[in-house]
Formats: sequence, structure tokens, C-alpha cells
Amino acid sequence: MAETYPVIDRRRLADVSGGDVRFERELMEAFVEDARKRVSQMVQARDGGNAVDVRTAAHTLKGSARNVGALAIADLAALVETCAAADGLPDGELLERLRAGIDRLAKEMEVPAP
Amino acid sequence: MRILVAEDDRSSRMVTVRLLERLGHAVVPAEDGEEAWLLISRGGKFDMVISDWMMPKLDGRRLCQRVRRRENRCGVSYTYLVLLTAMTDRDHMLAGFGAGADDFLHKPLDEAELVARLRVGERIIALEKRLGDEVEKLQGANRKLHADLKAAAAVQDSMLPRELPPDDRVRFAWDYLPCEELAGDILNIVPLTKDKYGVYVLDVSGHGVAAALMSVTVSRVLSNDPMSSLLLGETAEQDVTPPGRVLALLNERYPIDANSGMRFFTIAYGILDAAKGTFRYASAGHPPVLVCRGGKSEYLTTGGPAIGIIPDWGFEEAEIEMDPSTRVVVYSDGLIENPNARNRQYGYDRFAELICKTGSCSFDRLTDTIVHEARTWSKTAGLEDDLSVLVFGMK
Repeated sequence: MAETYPVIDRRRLADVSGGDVRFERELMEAFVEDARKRVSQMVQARDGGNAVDVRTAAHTLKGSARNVGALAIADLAALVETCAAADGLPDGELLERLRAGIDRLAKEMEVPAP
Repeated sequence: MRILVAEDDRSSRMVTVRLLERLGHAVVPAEDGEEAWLLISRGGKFDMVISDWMMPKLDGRRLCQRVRRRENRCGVSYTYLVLLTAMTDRDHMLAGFGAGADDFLHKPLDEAELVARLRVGERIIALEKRLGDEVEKLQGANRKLHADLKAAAAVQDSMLPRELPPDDRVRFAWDYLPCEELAGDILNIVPLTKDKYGVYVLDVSGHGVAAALMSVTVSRVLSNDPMSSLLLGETAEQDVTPPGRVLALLNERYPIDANSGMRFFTIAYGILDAAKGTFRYASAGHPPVLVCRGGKSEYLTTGGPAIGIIPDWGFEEAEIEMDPSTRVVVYSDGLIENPNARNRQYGYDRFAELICKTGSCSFDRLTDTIVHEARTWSKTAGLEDDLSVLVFGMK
């Protein structure tokens, strides 16, 4: 399953940052904060039965997760996107796993809690 | 390079900006297409714009369209546009290129691909800049050339008839239309003595700068400046040079050769004697002078070869009486030979008819009519040759 992937691709992160740890921390903070917002959007859209908004938020999260090397989160977001694209709505468990993935990343990268 | 990055997703923007900065570029981030557009439209100068495709408000495709429209309208320098997209299908690519994008970058951004595409961009930007510089240089040279031509045209205009001393025995009118900035034609009315006026129209072969230079050179010896004039008499008994002799002197001085750039000219020259009421003239290859009196017109056929063609030619002279109804029209072939849209020349008969038809209207009206006729005739084709016309008579 997706959760068995490394939560963050450290090589990708180092390629981007050039080894600048401060930049990495800033990037992770920004990513985690925005990722949480996207998940909240997905939950809200799912509760309102709006598959299109779920899909858009999942698509955006997938893109930024891939960009920073957050592979597990990217894969989970892709799952949500596929599900919503077929006009279905993701179940609560899937969105919970996404949220848990973000928490794990935050913990691993020592992102302070909001 | 100075690069504008338009990306609404914060962490993706940070990644793109970071990668570009590490490659040594100056990067300005924009949070969406609209902010990017504001930065550009307010005069921000960017060599390259890297824009996400999907953005709220103004997406990447429409941003490309606006940038290109602005370049076309305002003539600002070229911006290299790269669309950042996860979409790789053919229709998207076509829509992006159609909107004005130069290239695509795929998400997630790969450093090696980014470096390669930036290199392509830099190459194109350098080419565009060189092209722009060259165009600017050419425009500068063109402006200077135009200014020079205008100055030359002013010199040429200064050789045209000036205000004549008051003389209630004679009437003159003239008009002159160069088909380019400079004409190969020139005409003048030169007061030679108290009673005598030298009148000429000359037409150098070809037109443009070389022809104009020759026409100006020749017109300087056809003046009343005692130092240079060929028109003033060579002996004490002869106050003016007879027309045939003037043409012979010109023929001697301006042979067609390498010095003249193989150019030659035609000229009709005559002397109007206001005291005796005569016009004595000679012609060198020039269209025949038209005389109109009593509602009838006649072409004066006396003439010889164009100046410079045959050495030592003796140019014949002829003389006509000038009564108050006589009007003489000296002109260049600009009207007669001007083809209309159907490639038909105006012709001598039509010209003679036109002059007769205009009856006894004022001389200025007559030259206006001729110029109007020339313009109407060649309305679609435009004047292909210079047009000079000079009308005179006695009161």
C-alpha cells in the first residue's frame, strides 16, 4: 500500500534545496500547511457531495506532493482524484489516511504543529 | 536571465524558484496569472516567463495570449514563454503553442530537463535580441536616409522657379511632381535680360538620387548667374546664347559616359522675348512643345537627339510668334507616357485635346488640370515617372 513508500524522498528534497536545511524546513512548512488545507477542502466537498471540487483539490495536492518529493501523499491524493474523476466520492477512511500521511510527514520533518 | 514564475501552488512555486535561483537566474515569483500579468503589463522586463497552466483567475494559456498580444501591439521585446503542466496530451500541447507558448515543462519539475529547456530558451532569446538589434539598426539607417533624401529634395526645390520680377507683358505657371522623393526632372524660368526669359524643362534618364544629382548639376549652368551660366551671351553683341547653341554646349559638356553613370537627358529650351513677342526654341530628344491658339493645338516638331548621345550635333532652332491668345506648354513625358491601370499610355492626342478643351482658363487652372489629369489617369498605378509642366503666354 501507499503508506509503505518513504514518506519523503530525501534525495529529491536535497536536489531542490541544494542542501539548504533552512529552505527545506520552510518548504515543508508551506507544503504541510497547504496540504492540510486541501484535505479540509476535500472533506468539505465530499460532505457536500461535490465530486468536482474533491477532484480539483486532490489534483492540486498530487502535483505539489510530487514536486516536493512527498511520494506517499502524492499516491494517496492520486487515489482520491481517480475516485472522484469516476464521479464517485472517496470514503472517509481514504481521506483519514491522507490526513495521517501528512501528520507523519510533519512529524518526520519536525514541522511545528499549527 | 530574468525569469518570472507564475504558480499558484505555494510549495511548487518555492521549488521552481529555488531551482532557477540555484542555476543563477534572477527570479520574480507571482502567485497567479493575474499577478504575473500585472507585473508584465506595468513594464516589468522578463527574458522568460515560466507559468503553471492551471491557475485561478488567469490561467497560463491566457497569460501567454496576453503577452503575445502586448508584444504585437506595443512592439516590446520578445519574451520566451514556457508552460508548466502535468498534462502531456497532444491537444493541450497544441492549445498551448497556439496561445503563444514556446515550450513546455513537465511536472514534477526535473532539474536536468529544466536545465536543457532553459538552454534552448536562452538560445532563442539571444537570437531574438540580435534580430531586434539588427532591425533597430536598419530602422536608424533608414531614418537617416530619409532625412538625407528630404534635405536633397529641399536643395532640388530651391532650383525651381523663384518669384519673377514684375512684368505685365508675360504670364507663367508651372507644376512639378516627383514620383519619388527626388526627381530626375527639373524646370525653370530664368530672367535673362529685361525682355528675355529662358524657359526649360529637362528630364534625366531614370529617377531617384543619381538622376536628381545630374538634374541639379545641369540646372546650375542653366541659370542667370554670370559666373556659371551657359544662357548669357558669349560676346558683346549677343546678350543671350541662342537656344540651339545652349543645347550644343550642354551636349559637349555632358557626354553619356562612365562619368555621367551612362545617364543622358532630354531638354526643351527656348527664349521668350517679351519685347518682340516671339518664342525661339530648340529641343534635344524632349517631348514636342505644345502650342495652342485659337482653339487649335500644334506640336512643334523641331528637335535633335537627347543630350550626350551624338557628339557635335547641330541643334536646329525654330521661332513662333506669340499673340495674346497663344499659350505654350513645355512638359516632361511623365503625363504622356504614364500608363493607366490597363497599361495604356495617356498619349499626345489626348494631351492636345485636354489643353484645347480647357479654353481660356487661367494658367494656374491649366497646370492644376494637367496634374489632376495625370493623377486620375494613373489612379491605381501611381505616377511612374516625374511630371513637370510649364505654361506661358503673353498678355
